[in-house]
Amino acid sequence: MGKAVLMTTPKPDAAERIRTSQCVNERASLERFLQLQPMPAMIADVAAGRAVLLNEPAHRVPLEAPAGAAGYYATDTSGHTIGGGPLVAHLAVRAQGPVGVEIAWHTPARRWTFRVLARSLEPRNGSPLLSLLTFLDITAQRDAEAELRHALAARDEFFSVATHELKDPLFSLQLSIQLLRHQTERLATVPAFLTHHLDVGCRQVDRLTRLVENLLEVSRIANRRLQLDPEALDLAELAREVTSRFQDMAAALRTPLILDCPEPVIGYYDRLKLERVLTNLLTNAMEYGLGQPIVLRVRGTPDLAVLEVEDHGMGIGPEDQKRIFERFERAAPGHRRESLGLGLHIVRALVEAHSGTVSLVSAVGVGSTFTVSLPRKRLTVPQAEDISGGPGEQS
Amino acid sequence: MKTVLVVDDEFDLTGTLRSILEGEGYSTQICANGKEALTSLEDCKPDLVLMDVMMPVLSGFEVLRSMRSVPALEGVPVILMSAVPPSVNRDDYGWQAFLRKPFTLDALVKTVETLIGKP
Repeated sequence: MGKAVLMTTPKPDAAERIRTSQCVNERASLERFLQLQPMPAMIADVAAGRAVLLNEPAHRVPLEAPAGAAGYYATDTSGHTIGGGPLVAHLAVRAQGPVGVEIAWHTPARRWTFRVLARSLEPRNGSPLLSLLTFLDITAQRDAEAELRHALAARDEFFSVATHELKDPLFSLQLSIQLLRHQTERLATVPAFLTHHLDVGCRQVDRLTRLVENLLEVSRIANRRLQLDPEALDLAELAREVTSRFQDMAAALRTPLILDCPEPVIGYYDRLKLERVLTNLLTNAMEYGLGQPIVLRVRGTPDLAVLEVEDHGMGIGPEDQKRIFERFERAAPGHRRESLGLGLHIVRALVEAHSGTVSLVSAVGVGSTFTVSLPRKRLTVPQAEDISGGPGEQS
Repeated sequence: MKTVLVVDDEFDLTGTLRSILEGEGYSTQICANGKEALTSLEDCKPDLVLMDVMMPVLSGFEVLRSMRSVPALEGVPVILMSAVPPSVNRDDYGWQAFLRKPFTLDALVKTVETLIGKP
């Protein structure tokens, strides 16, 4: 690795130049000014590419590499060594902006992160161009940010793996209960309580499965692993499929579920993602619909496909309507505490991934209508960005 | 009797799949991983393979690739099961149906019947 020494010990001629080009009083003023700086600072001779004065904090770092010492070099925010000329000259030019530049300064003892600000000093009496360089120590801040990023990535990875671990036993349980129910249907007489509790088991496992699927989806969103796999899809057909899965729940809640999709509405969409959108909207409508009829409409215009889920339940107040699309938010009061507050957040993320929009018209005591509008043209699908570098999806 | 080879590393799940298929009148053989499956395939010559994708030792895709290189097994239909859509090209591996977990009992029975008929 190339070594870029921030400062070398001033040669006598540099100090001499200061002495000869500036009066003693001016130098003393500069020194006093420099020593008043609470952070490491130096006066640099830009043309010579070396520091000519350092304050005490700068000596303590040290910003001055001892003569002949190795292991002192600077890197930029990408980790590349800053080379190609004297570092102070580089900083005197690059750090003149209002926010300066950020560098990492490596010494054999430790690494520092500095925000460097450079300000030119007005030349006097033919003196060389001098620059004041101040070094704001942001090491602790950057280290804390890196730790936080690491902790967030670890949390999201754990979230994703844990959710997958939940899915397998849930699927096994779901299939076992279906098998039991299937077998009871073949028997001549079955006690009513057995059928009832098998139905309860089925519904609760379905509900848990939806919660786990939502957790997994939200971890994909948080990890920026959301990736669309679009295909030519008839949304009317999809609405029929999803609605059929809600028939048991609708019957248990005595909620009429009306499907209004008179003709095919075809576009290029990710089937699984839009299944999740419809599932989450219908689950919400079922949970907060107070047993009143729920209507799922599918309509198409030449440019847009429109999905509408309308309920006549408790409705959502104006103060809650914006925040319910945020993660972990629920409308209050009267809305179930056990809801994770992920459903609508996921709906919005998945719809926006399709370049679509979701809107809400609602009034307390009247009900809610969620409207999803999706473009019908082919999407340019962005690739998922894997920021954690962790394992991908597993079956 | 038509035989289905069920391959999955989840013990309870293979037990349930066995009960479902045997309840419908099919015979079953169970394998816990892809390597076991390759050995069983030669012995039991199943009419259908119902196989998970992500498994220890050998994945479902690797088993498929091996199957397609053996003339005697080339024509055996395969149903793959996974929680995520296949990441490889169907034409390169040649499975006949894909069931996304979680699937229903009805979907499983219907898919099996479509491929090999009733027992």
